[in-house]
Amino acid sequence: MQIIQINDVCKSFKNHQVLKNITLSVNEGEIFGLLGPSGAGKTTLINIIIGLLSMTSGKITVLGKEHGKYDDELYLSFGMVLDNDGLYDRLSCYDNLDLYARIYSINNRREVINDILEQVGLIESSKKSVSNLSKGMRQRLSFARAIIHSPKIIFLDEPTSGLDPATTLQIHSMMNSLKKSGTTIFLTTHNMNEAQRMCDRLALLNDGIIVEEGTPEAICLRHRKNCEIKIETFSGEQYITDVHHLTNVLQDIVQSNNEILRIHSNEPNLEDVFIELTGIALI
Amino acid sequence: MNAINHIKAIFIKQIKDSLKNKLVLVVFFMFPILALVFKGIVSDTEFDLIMPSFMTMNTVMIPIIFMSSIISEEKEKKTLRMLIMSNIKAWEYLVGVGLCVFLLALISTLVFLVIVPFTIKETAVFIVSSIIGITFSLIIGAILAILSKNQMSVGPITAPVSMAIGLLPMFSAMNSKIETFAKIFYSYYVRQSFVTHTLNFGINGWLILLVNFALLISSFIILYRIKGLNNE
Repeated sequence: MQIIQINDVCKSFKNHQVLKNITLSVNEGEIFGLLGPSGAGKTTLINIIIGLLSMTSGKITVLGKEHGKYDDELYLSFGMVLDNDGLYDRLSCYDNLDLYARIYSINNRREVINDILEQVGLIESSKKSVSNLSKGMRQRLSFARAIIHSPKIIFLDEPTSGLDPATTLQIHSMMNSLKKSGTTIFLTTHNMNEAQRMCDRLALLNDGIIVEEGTPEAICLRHRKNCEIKIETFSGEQYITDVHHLTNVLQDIVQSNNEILRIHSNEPNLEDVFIELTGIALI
Repeated sequence: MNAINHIKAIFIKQIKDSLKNKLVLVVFFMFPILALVFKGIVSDTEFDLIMPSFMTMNTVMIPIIFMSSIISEEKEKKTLRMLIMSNIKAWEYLVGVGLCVFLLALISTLVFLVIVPFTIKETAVFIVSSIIGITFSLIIGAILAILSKNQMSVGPITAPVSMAIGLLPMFSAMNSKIETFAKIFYSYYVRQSFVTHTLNFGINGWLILLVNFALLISSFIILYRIKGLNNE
């Protein structure tokens, strides 16, 4: 079931067109990634989908409701971690979550909040003011706030940007748990490894245009040009060949008494694909 | 039911946030503390002359400053955006924050009851006038918050407006031309009630208060419709 449908969406700020005829869809329960460099239009698109921005033209439907006609019920289905965390600096972690637990009329607030703080590893810091938290802790708290009401869709705008590897792993693990529970995740990132590891499907966005879309594997395979095969030996030598010359290369290695360490099909990664399609690197 | 829950959530949040903000507490109790200091150093006659002005400034200036700075801070830090995206309606937010500012402003106003020896009737007049002053000023604070994009821009608008409204009644006691001008603002009548301990403003006075209220509310509604609360 398609949970988000985006058809021919354009967005301009004055004379500058930021999004150009964007068409994509997100299926229920998947992690969909929007991969692109800074300034590609990822945040603009996420802000349009959640209703923070209007679009210049096009049509967006989320859970069957048209953009511009979103109602309270739909907003209850959203969880968000946006570019700015929107946390109250002077309040504690607990009080920040308590505000939203009250807004969503959650029963057993104390238990729910403590449970979520436990999940995101902040239970020890529950009484700490947000102003005293590290960037990673703030991001985990935003994540906790986004899931406190068990939303159907979570929008994550560069959730791991600038975080250390350990916190990034924690956030990825939380995303996987949410996916297992059936939550749909819409993720924007400029991190190619994150997109490749986490996303079921993704779209590559550059300069407001979707240049490629599909599963990470399918995208990479689509752009594999000459079926290169890379062979590494125990002595450290590397051979790059294609299927037609594979037998000859293997014979050479055996004749030179070398042992094969690994043989790997040399398909491009997402970054290679992006560079091939746009001529620029993901920054 | 949802709206009540939302207002309650915002109110509780704002109370907690304000109590953790030492600067807020200092400003809220600045005028009562100054009044206490003056009581110790000036004569009783001078004290009786100064006190209505202090009480007026406290009643009309503090809610303007606080209402506008709370909302503009929320705009700047994008906390307001997050609230609006969580189904909080702009009016629920304004009522929640407004109730908190109203309560704190009323408490700081009531401190004057300890400093100034009022009779029961005078106390009643004082409380009613304070409620009028605080309510009008809350609306001005909300208007200024809509006009400003962030905390940096709210100061230059709030300072002259709150000073004009808070200080004009005091200057009107010294100059008849200023008094004529000051009479078109609600703060003049708030001070008058603090001086005379009555609500006898005459029909004209009450009409002016009514017009003030109508103008403020309609300005707020028009600006809100044009710019919205969270005009990032």
